Amino acid sequence: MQIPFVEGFGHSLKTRKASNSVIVRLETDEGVVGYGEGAPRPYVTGETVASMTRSVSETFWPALKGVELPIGDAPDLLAQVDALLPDALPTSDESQAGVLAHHSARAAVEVALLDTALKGAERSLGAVIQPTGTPLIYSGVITSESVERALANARRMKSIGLTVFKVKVGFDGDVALIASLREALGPESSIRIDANGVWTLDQALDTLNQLVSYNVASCEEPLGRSRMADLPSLAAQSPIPIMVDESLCTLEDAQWLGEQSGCHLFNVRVSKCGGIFRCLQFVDRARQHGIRVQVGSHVGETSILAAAGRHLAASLDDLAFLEGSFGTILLSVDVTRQSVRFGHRGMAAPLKGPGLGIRVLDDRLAQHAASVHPLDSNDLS
Amino acid sequence: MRQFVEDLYNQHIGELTGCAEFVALEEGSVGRDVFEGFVGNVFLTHQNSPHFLGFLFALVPPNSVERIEHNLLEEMGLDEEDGRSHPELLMALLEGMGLQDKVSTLKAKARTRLDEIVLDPLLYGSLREVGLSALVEVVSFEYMLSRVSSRIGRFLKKQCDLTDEQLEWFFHHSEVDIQHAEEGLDTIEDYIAYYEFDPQEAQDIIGTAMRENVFIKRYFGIEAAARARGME
Repeated sequence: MQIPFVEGFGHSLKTRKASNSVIVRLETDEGVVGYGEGAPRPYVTGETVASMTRSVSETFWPALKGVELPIGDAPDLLAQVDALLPDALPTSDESQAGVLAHHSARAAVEVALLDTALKGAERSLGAVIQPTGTPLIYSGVITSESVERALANARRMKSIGLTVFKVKVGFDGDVALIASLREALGPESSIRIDANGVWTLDQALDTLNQLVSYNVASCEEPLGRSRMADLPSLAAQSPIPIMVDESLCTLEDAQWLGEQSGCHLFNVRVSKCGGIFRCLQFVDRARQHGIRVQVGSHVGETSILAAAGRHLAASLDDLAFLEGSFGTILLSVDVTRQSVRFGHRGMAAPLKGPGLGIRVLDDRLAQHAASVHPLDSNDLS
Repeated sequence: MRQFVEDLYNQHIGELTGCAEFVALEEGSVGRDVFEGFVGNVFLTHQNSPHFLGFLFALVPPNSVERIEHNLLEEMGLDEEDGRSHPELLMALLEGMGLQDKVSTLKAKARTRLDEIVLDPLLYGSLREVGLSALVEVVSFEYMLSRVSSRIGRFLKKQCDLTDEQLEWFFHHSEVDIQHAEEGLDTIEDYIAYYEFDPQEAQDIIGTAMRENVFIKRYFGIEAAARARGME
């Protein structure tokens, strides 16, 4: 897909101007259609749009075509769908090229399978992973190309009632930026920061110590994967809770971080973590080690991934923070009839309709598709 | 506040008239199909105008009710005997372009847009803020049309051989909307005062409403709007 953003969205690793999600549309012989979405990020899992598309068509589809879709009523539907999916570990060449996992491809296929199977049974994903009743309150994300721009963004978000914010940092003047934002947003707002892995251990400790007085709720990805070995030391010394994101791409990462006390929070994202079933496995690892969980999102997700994230978040009774569901606040246009964007105060309700609980507009997908790759089950070999 | 709003409107108008798509139409350097697409988008954009005015009629302060009521009646062709509704004028434009067979499709799309607005979760806590946001966007089109519509009418007349009667929607707006646009700015000021908006609060809501160039987005599509702001 190629859906322009309303405004550019920058952080220390990348400025994005458009969504480039890959949508998987699955249609059964009976005409039931389900959708999934992946958001490949070279600086997260090492995947690109091209590699994800290739992975879906050359790895996942051959393993699935002709396979009987699990019945949507099955109580262990998530596990059944997961069992259908190949491990799809990166080849040695891919690993050398920086691919950690084909998780975006896996997530897109898994969510499409779940949506299709559940729609076939007229059952909501919320019946499989049930809402706990925890209020779903999304965070606003403030980009920081300049203090002035960040303040303007913050004021607008405050005007729509948001009270929980994440601020992209990792630039010169981070401390002054947070000081200004704290003043603008008031003492009652929750502010956390995301450095996208640009700091060294010393830089992180220095900056975090300077930020203590501004009541920062957590610092996401301070060091980056290349400096993961320093995370236990940082987590032990930091006056601000440490959250991992890019350093948490595989279950092995989760295990290591838990055993080494490398962080205080996990940022679990459906696309990054390889689907809903895998996300729940990350959550299990977190709980085993007393680590709290944020359900995050990739910038530019459409309502398809947002719906999957909503179901996941709604099922967790110990959710620390929630991101995503920006819809047309960020995208020029979304792909569903009814947006799953959050509303006033960032609040949203669990989705209830069959499958993901959204109605995807095929003509909208066609209109904004950068390319289409039909995969036909008639070519069964 | 009036100056803040006018500055925003003028910035958006400058982007519209400076965007490659508008320039190409004005220069006549594109084929008839591009003109047809543009006219279809104008039709689509303004199909729902009476609905939005009806919504604002319910919300505006007492001092502005008469103005909105007049605009609404005029939009519906009820302000004078033998008046033609704006949707009828748009229909004449569409017929002039030979696009009669597109009417049902365009009307269905217009309905979809209305549905999306109704179905989208509200970003604001009350209709007070929603109303300001809607008012600012509605007035933005009146303001833009008062300055640009006769120019559009002229290039459509020249490039597409349309008659003045078929182009009445554009020429009507160029005359009438100068007054409407000024009254619209009055209404915005009245609304902000009546509902006791803090100036910063009002600016934030107005800024949010005008974040993207809705003129380019509606008349030329989201890709054109993105290009106009270097968002490709």
